[in-house]
Amino acid sequence: MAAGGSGDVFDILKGASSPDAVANRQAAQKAYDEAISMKAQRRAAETIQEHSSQPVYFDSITILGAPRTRRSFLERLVKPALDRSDQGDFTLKDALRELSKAINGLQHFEIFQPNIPFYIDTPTDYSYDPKTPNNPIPLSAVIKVKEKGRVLLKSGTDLGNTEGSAYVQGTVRNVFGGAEFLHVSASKGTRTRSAYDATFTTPINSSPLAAIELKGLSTARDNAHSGHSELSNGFIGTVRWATPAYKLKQSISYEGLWRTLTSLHDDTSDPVRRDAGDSMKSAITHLLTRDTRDNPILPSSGTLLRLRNSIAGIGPLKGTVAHWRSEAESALAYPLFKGVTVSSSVRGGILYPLTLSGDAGPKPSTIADRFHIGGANDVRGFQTGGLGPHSGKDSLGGDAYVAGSLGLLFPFPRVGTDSRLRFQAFINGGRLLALERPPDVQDMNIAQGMKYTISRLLTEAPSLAAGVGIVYGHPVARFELNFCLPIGVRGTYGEEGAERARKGLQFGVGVEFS
Amino acid sequence: MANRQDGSSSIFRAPQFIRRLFDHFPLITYPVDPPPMSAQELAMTTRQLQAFHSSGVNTLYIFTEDSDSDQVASFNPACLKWQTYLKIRGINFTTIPSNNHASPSGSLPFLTVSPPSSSSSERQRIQRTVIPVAKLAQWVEDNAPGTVNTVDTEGADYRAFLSLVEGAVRDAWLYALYIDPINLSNITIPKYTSTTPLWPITHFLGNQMRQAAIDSIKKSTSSESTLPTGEEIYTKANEAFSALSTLLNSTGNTWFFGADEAGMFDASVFAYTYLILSLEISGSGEVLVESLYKFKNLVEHSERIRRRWFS
Repeated sequence: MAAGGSGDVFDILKGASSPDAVANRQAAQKAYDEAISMKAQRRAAETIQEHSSQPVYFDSITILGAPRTRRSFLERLVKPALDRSDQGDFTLKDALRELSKAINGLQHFEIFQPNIPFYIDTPTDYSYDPKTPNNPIPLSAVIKVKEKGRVLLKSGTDLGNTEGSAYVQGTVRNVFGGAEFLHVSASKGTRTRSAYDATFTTPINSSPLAAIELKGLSTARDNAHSGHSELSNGFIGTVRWATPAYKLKQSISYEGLWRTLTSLHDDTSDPVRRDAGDSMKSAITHLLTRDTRDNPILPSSGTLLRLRNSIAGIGPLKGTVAHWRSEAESALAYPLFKGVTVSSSVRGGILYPLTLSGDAGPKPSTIADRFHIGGANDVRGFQTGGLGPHSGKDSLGGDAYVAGSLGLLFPFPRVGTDSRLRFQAFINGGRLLALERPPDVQDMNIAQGMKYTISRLLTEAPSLAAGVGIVYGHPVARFELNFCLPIGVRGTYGEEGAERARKGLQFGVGVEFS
Repeated sequence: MANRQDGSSSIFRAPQFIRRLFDHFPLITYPVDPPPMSAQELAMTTRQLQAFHSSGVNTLYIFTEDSDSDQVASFNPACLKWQTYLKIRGINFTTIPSNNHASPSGSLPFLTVSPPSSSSSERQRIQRTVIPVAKLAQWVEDNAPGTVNTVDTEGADYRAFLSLVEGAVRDAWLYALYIDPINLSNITIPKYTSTTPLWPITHFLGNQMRQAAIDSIKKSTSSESTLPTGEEIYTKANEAFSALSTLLNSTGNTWFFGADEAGMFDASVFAYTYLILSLEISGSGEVLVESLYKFKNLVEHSERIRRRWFS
């Protein structure tokens, strides 16, 4: 009897602790909680909707959970909301908008966990007076943040622009409590043999839209297409700012780089040997980017405009090279029908020699500064640096170029447009020329030469290649496998000075494709 | 010269139809574009440029501050030795200022020449051949008119005296120019970093050169741990000068080993004596200059070569 009774209890207890029952109960509890919370949210939303024009003011904004962040930094972030509230004529709707702006700002710094919650209440000592409903109601807002870990160490492998690499990275977040970042990384790769850099970034005046970045770097890069390796050691300081929607970004930077062209191959050509050794580039660069593309890796709509202008070596800049280097790039993606998109790009640049401070006249450019175009994610159907002047097996680069591409992207049959796979068909080409002497001029000056070079660039047929292939737009990089055939090329294979086209399959990985 | 294999048409053994397809491409072939101009070419008039390209001159890459004139002696003894020897042998060449990074052997000098098979109809677009320093002597034998200097360079005497130049004299040169701080900062660093005369590059390269000199002296004197003192090094150099002076005196006081014309040994000695006498060495190096001035026939030998080939 007793045994039977206790047996029942045990059965119940056993049943209660069986995983299924626990899961069922938890699911039911969760569904109930969710329903309650949904209801509460809907009620809150309705209440806010009803009272959205209610005059209010911020009595206080409290940020909780940021012990390692400076008070002055946070104050500057919420100040716009408080200022707006102090001006009067401030409704509940305005208050919510200002708060969400401040929260977006907080989120942008990447020092807090995402999905920052906030609460609004009236101060505890406030009592609503129904006789004066139009008196502004004081609000005390609470933003509850959670700081991300201070130190982040990471190692892994990377596929960048036509190269693979392994890296070790360390990041210190919020170094001085004002969303400053210190980032140190070391990597070894197939093309960038080794790269070490340390970067310190700090927002300007607590703004999520403007920052100063200081970077020290040391890299060794294998420029096999030009028969040498390039070592760079130096410093880059950048000030960057953007418009609130981040569509238009600009930066001005100073770079001082000591470059050494070394480790020449046995058969490296004369023009590269001439440029081997040390040089110092001291330059100021302005970069403007306007990007409205929906996805930079695999865009289906929008435009990109990028202008880069750089001045090196003149006046107080010193250094050992002096030039004006200017590049413009525009790209367009346009959806046609049924997931088919057109994408096109045009870009061009000139490298104009200037007179180095202390020199009598301008010196011609060196291989380290000249443009090199061609490659799996550049002008496809050509080898890396495959266009323009060559000597032996080396790409010598040029002082002026234009390049363009026109492509069609088709969705994969059956997988549709949601997948990141596409078929593509493209035609692309370019023209790269070294600064050239006009045939009818005895004593050449740079302006005449540049004018003549640009006129040749724009009037003569470009080197062209076309192909078809498969594209995979992974969130961090774009992969392409193409079958390419050159259409127009300068020089035949093996001829001294000939461009280096690529027939057949070409594989490209990269963040930037043109 | 080795050929790098990265041909676009030989990536794999493609099926027949693919190869036949590839043969049709590119559809259009345009003429090649000219290479970028060198500083030298930029400064020339079109007529000078045509003459420059058609001459197909040999170019000696050396340490020098002035590219315009090949009459200017290099400030580096290894370069000056070959610059002098090529002149002695009547080779037509121009010089170009360069640095060790450009050299296939890792150190200057080296010569680039147009291949003998080049026909003038192909204009200037022929790749030039590099002759590294190790093959320079043989190249000179193959390309220069015969010489009356028939000194036996394999003889024991020759090798013993050459090791005095390449040992004791060279160590003293390195000590005076790279380890003595006054000459390092007043002569060596400004000359070797003349294309990048900017701090901190000068500082880094100066330290590198100094360390390389210390290692070289230690190796030469077989003293792995400690560097001999300046006094020891200069005393040995003085002994070497004395021996060379006696050698020159014993064979007629014109060219070494009594040759009828200057040869490689004369060029090797001149490369040091000329630079020691002309570079305005100060500091501890004054001892070296003074000791060389004591041997009148070595000074005259140096002057004889300078007047004939560098004026």
